[in-house]
Amino acid sequence: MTFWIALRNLRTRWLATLITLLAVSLATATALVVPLLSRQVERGAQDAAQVFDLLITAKGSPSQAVLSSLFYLDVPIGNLPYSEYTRLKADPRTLRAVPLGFGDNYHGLPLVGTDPSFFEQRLKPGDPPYFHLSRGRMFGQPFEALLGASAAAQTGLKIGDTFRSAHGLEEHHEEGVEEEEHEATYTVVGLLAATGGPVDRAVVTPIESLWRVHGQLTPESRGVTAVLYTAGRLNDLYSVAQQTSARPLAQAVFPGQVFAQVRGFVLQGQAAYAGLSLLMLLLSALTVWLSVHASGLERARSVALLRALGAGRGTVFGVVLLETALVVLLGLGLGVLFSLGLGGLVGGVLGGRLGFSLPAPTLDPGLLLRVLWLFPLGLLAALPPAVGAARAEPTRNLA
Amino acid sequence: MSARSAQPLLLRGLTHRYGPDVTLRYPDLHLDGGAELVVSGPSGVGKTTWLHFIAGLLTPTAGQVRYGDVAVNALGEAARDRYRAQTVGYVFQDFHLMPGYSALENVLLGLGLAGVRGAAANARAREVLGQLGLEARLNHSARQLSTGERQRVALARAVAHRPALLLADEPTAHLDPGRGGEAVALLRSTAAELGATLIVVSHDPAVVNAFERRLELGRAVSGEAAPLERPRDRPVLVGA
Repeated sequence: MTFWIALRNLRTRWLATLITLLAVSLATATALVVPLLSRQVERGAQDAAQVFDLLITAKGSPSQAVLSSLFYLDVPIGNLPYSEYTRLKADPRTLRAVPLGFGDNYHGLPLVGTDPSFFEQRLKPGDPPYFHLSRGRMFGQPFEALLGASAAAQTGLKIGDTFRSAHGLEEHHEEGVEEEEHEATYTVVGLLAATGGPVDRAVVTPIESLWRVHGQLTPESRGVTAVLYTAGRLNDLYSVAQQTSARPLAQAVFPGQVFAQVRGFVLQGQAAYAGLSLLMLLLSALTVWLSVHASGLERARSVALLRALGAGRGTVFGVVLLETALVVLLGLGLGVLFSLGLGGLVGGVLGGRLGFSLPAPTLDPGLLLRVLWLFPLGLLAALPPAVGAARAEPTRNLA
Repeated sequence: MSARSAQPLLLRGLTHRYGPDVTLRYPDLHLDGGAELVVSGPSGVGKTTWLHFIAGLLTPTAGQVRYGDVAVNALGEAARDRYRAQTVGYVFQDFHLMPGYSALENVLLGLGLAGVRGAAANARAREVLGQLGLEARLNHSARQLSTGERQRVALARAVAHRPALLLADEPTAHLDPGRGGEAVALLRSTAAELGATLIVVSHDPAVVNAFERRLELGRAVSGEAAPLERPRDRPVLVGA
């Protein structure tokens, strides 16, 4: 009966109920959506980069190295001399040294110059290769190209089609800026299976294609933008990293460490955001309190009537408390759903821009706890009127 | 349809004190189960208070309200709540329909508090509202009902759980004489149908004259040093 009465009382005060519901759900969503999204980006980036053990680039910012060489999102720091690559490749500790070259694009899609060892990379030894063809064949000659899954869908190119690349990492749309198109023609020989990572929106070609296009015909004139490095043994990986970073021109970057650093920055930002969320949640708690107390007179009359009709003190106490509990719980639930929906929606858009798939937003208990304290706070706000209702004499407010 | 069998009502030595200055003393009364009584008297004499004693809404300063074997004013809080919910049907002067509730929900509320729920409650509420000519107004809220309709919803809520004691406080106060007569007739016929004891408080001579048994309460005594025992004007019991 308590539940039945509480539901009807909420319906009677539908406007106050709606405002409180909105306040609680918006505050909840605000508190959750940014942490959810940042976790999605973090996990998506880690998933996309987990296949790469060690990244070796020219000296510069490690995060720029990761963003440019693994995610194709930033300008590369510069080129490593070809000799650095050959030195790494010849090192007896080396299992794999995959060269990467950038600098050209096709309709905004980055051309990634590499060699067939790129396709030997695995998540763990014994796992199948991380990148594999869905159709066609592996490139064999310069100017043969493989299209990532999104790149194929975006350009509509098919196996056997040809195209010409343009200089630069991005397509130029500005008026008066002429696209600097290269003379060489690429032929699509294969399509790559989707991985959810940045390679999906790339065009992969032998690194010789880029050297030739840019006139780097002798080993002395060649450069590689980065090397994806894997050692035979874990200890060797660290020693190679240390020795490489000690050299004047190169640096070794563990993508995981860069993520940890970036995460540190993000967490600082999130701490400020958490403060703002706390304010929002406190405001919504205030709305709950106002809503409970603003209906005081109306409530006093209905409580008196309920008591006159035979409702016990416990029943009216329960009704007042349950009304608030229902609104706060429903608001929290709606806020959580709203944040998950928004996380999924924005995550999709953000993933498209970042070039890797973001996983679906997921809530963990820690994140939920950030908003769940609103529930006891709401009940606390409802406690004085509930006690007042239970103590009220039925005849006092019955004229 | 029949009420829980109505028991005799006995009021003895009822006195109520408002602060140090005002004391109300009420006449003793014995009313058989199923009887009818109208109570009248000038404003401020304590008619509603007296009705609240019988309904278990107020406890008198002294005296006894006994319904059958039950000493109402000696009941514990929970037992008094049950007595109000199950034994008493109360039609308030201002009807006091729950705001925002439909006619049907108002009646379901009374039934639910009396312990009648689910399909049985729904059927009973519709039956009573139908008998009172409100079958087409079941889902209308109090705001959408006319005064006469609100009065009938209040009556339906008071009688749906088949109370043994039907109490009505100024049931014609908001009605024109024609509607007032109809309302009283409806109360009497419903109580008779239920076999319930009916007590109507009214200052309307037309209502008072319609009843065979009448109780007229006198004036309250006020003064600086009015002791509890100080008698007020002797109430007159008519037709007892």
